[in-house]
Amino acid sequence: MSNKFNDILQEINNVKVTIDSYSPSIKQPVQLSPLTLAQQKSIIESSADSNLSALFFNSVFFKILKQNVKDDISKYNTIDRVNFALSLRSQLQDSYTFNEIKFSLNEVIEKNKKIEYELKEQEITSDNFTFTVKTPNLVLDDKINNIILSKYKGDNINSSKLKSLISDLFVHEILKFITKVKVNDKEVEMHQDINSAVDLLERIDSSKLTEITRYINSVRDIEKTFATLPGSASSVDIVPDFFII
Amino acid sequence: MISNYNNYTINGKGVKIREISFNELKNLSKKLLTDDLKELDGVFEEVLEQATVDTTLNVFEKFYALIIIRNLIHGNDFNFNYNDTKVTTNLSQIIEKIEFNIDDIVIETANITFVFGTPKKLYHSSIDEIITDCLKKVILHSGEHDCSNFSYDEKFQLINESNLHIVDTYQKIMKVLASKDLVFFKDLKIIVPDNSTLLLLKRLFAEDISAIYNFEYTCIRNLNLGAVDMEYYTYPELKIFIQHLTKELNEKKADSKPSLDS
Repeated sequence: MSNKFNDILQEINNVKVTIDSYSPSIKQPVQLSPLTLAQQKSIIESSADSNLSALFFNSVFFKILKQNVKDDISKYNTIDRVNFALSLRSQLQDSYTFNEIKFSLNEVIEKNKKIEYELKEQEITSDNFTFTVKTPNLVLDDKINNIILSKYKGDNINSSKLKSLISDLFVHEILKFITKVKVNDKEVEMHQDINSAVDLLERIDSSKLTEITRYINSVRDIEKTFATLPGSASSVDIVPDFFII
Repeated sequence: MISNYNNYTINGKGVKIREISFNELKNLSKKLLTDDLKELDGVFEEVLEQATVDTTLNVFEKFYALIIIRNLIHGNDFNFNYNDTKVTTNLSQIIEKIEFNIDDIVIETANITFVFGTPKKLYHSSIDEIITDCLKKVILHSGEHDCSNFSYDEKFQLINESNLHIVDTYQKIMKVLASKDLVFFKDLKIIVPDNSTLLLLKRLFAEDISAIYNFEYTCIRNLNLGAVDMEYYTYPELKIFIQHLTKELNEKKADSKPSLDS
């Protein structure tokens, strides 16, 4: 490659602007690089697979955040992802039309700065089990998504495979939130060996997981609050279409 | 191989173009049996590489040159069915209306201005490929940088690293390219930098392969030509030879017929 080309490439990288976003989980401003054209293309391509599209998109979006967030990505969790997505999308185009009504995404981001929520690590006890639950950080979320993706990627998802996929999605989704399980005197760290943790979780009676599901729903509700459009009950779905303008 | 090139002027550029040999036409007809656009692109780029000399052509100029090459084989007329009616159109007249260059498309992002121009490639597999192909200049704080001498991969890297809005940029480029459409016949229009043009070119060049083989057999059998000769004669030349032979045979037949007087 020519020197002239390298000089131009370097200058392009040097003059890139930075987007100011905000992390609700650590209540601090976060700096992001805007989406590159290659990243926009990878988002468009992630919408192709219908059964696994949500996982694909999350995996692609994690890779983008890993490149574009200016500090350690493991500091941030899935609630922050909503705000990051809004910031990156608003850089492409601030205006977002939902049900024929135009919204400013910057107004959504500003509204989100005022949202107060309390969601701490919790211990949930059910009979002789004690589960420690916490909102997953983005690295863990991606790690578990990729386990499912690598299991089903390239498969023709027929009805029996679909049942197995749904069941895996359920177990792995719960696993994302459980950091520790204590049974009698024994304590298991759930995120060190994911496959063993899945085996363990599958052996536990699902009635003991009800409170955990409730905790997960409360996290998802908070994520939805951050995606809610001002003056409306509707919220933005953070999916590939959101970025295809 | 045929080495006699004719001089043409395409968009102000001197372009040397030669006729393709019968063998090249036969091989081309075999290669055109596909509908895969990427393969067709490879076929037509190869035709251009073989039959033109030392010229960097943009997509409109390539189309023009390909029509010249086609017309050297088949003549200016093209017959086709339009609304169940057989019609003939003159391809030379169509290509004379080509506008070879588009006005600069200027797109500004924060701190960087990108200038896009006429694409070079006949085929683009994705929207970022067409954006890359059209990249002409980058304007930075350090000044204006001409990208026309960069390789495709270098331009692709610049585009990928940019914060250009992919869909918006593509739409702006396609809007300008579509405005340079060419009337083929009545309401039939061609957008030259569109992938579907490759299918039109296929239709314009395609020859029935079994007819080609029959013709080659006739030439070998009756003109005493060998396989190597097919590298040096063109299809129209061989057609003329066969016409002469047929005429001679018909004359001989007429001479040998007993007349009523005898």
